[in-house]
Amino acid sequence: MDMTVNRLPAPTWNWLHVNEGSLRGVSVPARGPIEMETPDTISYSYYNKEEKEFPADILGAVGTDLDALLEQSEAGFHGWEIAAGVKESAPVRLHFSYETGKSVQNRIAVHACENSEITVIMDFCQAEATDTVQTPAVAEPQGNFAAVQTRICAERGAKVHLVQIQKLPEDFTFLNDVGTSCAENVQIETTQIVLGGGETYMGMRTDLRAKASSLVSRIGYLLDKKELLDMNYLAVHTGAKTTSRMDVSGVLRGESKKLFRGTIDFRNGSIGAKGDEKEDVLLFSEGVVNRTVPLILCEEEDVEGNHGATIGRLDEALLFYLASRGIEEQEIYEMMARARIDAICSEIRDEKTRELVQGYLA
Amino acid sequence: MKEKTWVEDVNRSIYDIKNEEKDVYRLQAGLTPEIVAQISDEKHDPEWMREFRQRSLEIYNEIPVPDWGPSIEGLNMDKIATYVRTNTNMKASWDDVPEEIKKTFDLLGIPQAEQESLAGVGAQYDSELVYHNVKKEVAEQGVIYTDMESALTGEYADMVKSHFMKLVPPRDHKFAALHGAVWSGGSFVYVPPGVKVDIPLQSYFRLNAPGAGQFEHTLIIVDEGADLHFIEGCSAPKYNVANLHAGCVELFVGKNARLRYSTIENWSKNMYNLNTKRARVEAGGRIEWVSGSFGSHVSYLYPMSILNGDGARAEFTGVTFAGQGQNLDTGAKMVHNAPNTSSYMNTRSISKGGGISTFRSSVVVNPKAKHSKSSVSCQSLMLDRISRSDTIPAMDIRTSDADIGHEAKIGRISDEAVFYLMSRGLPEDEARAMIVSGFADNVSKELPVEYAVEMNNLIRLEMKGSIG
Repeated sequence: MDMTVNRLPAPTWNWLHVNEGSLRGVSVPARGPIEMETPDTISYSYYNKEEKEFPADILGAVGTDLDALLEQSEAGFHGWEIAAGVKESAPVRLHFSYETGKSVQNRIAVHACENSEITVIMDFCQAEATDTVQTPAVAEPQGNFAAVQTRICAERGAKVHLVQIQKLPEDFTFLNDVGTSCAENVQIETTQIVLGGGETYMGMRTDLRAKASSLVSRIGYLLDKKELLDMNYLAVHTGAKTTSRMDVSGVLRGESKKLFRGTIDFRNGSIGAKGDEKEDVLLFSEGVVNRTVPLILCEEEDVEGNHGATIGRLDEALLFYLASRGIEEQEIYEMMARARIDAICSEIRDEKTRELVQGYLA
Repeated sequence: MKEKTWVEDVNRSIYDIKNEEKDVYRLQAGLTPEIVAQISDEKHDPEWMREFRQRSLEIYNEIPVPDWGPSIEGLNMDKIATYVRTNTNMKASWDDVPEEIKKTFDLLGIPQAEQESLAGVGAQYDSELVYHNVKKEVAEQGVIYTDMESALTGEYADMVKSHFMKLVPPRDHKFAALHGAVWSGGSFVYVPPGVKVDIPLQSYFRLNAPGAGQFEHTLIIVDEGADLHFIEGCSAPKYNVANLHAGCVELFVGKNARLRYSTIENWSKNMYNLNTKRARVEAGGRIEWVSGSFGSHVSYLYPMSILNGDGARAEFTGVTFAGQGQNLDTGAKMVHNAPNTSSYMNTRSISKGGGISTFRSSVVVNPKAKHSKSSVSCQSLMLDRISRSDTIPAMDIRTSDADIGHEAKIGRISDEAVFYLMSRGLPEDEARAMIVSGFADNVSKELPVEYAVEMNNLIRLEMKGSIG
């Protein structure tokens, strides 16, 4: 099927080609393999389609075409739940290892009950030749395609940390859709690092429905060659005194392309809400295409919304300073690219994941 | 306790003067090849323009309405008369302008402004100019300032033909095509190389006829090293039927030339303002847009600057005030096509009384535009909970050798600032009006003082009844 994804919540001029992304000829994916580690305090179940429906009331940002595609698959979804009051420091680890030539999908549901705390770490990579896992396919999908849909329901006072690390090959198409619903005093913290992937479409919608819920979202990327990263991030403030912060930082090299759509949406009722978006992009090569569409939508008086972006090359004074210390220009660029990812990586509490990122960078 | 001052609609005083439609030639409403041919007949179009209009009409019928902006469902082209003129021709003396029309422009302060602070004035009433004059000393510098119709068939016919709708081709969008089909009136300005016009020229557009459209075309060519400030004003009385403004402004700024284009837009609140403005700037040239948008029911207005020459610069300074019943979608577009180009946008949006204000912009930096710089700053102020304010900027950067900055802010009037002013003896409504005027000072400080005063008066008018 042909898909339209990552629609901008308020469209702009069509000639800019930023209103949405599109994919052609996507076949229905089969259920993909996951290696998982779940702490004892957290319950896990796999739900077949007939047993339980994937949460439909929590919306993502990739869009309804992805919902329709995954609905066609026979696969059900994986669900994790942490009970009220339980605070688990050990993460749920989900390792997605994708085989060449396959088209796969996974749906993930996380339910954080009142005053609980949970960390979910996902890493998406290419399978080693020996690391193949056979999964039953509902169709005969072709191509290197994977889609992951994550829905998080956070009850009052819950804290949820989501970490996603992506290192996929250049000929891979990946759709990653996250949707979160936040009750009162919920804290959502997400860290996403993209270190490779032919075409990546990422969307994240966070509904800050109730008073004092908050989102901190960090995104880091390092793109090269002809890679494409198409993002659609949306923080919807409905509750009073809700806060959101999106920090996006990345480097474009080769002929890579990036499109970041970031929306802070202050709805009626979000009295005293605050939203911040910050983007910092380094452009290292001719031939890169950097597109940014930072939206602030507002129908409430007493709110504060801010967006700031800096896009360009390395500061010449910094370049001169480092060069005067005997560092080769190429090395300086590598160093600065890595520093951006390191800065985001350092926010990840899990040492094993930080090492994984360092391993990918190496 | 202070009495609340709800006012349902602001008193637009002089802007709402309505002249009865008498001794007027009005084409039937609607848009057909026959109507377009009638406009050509009325205006004695040369053959190329007759064909151009008909081709534009075909394009208009092919292009869909925009699917991304405010709704224009209330605009029915079958009910819009595209050409209305008073039975008078253009005069060079205010004394010769029909009394009723002259009185309108007197109240709007145009003849007085001409005497005191302008180098030339064009005054359009409905579809045609009724007055046009340029000061002798400016004309002696070689500056051409005339109505478009005279330019189209006169000495500058070739220059007009080679520039007309070249920057804004009819295929650009549906209402550019509409403009190409039914345009009427407007001004042609040519400033020769090296000539600096010390005081501004002004065109004022007044739409008096209910259910009519105004489609003036402004074509300005500022040649190498020349300098000009052009001011555009517009207003209309409010009717219960929709009016339409689909003007077109094309500005050609030569090498090392400078053009400042200032607009105070105060259309009535039944107006669909679907206007297109564009400038092309050559090496070392500079375009400065200063824009205040206060009127209209719906507005689509985004002046575009195409920086085509090495070192070309563009600035856009704008304020938009959307009150009750208004949906104003405004902003700017910058296109960097050459090295060392720079652009700067500084805008303020104010929403009140259920009004919707949208700031929309684009900055496109093409691969050739090495060492380019762009900075965008947009600030929005929400004055109540029933209004809406959206910010929709886009950046498309295609070279690594550019510095691009963007910042956007949205917020409300701080209670502390209001309290401070009230503690100094100001009533609350005046304190809030003063804060809003200060918020919009990015534009007012760029305007000649008379226009800045007018703009602040408009803000004060709009702020009436803002407490409640």
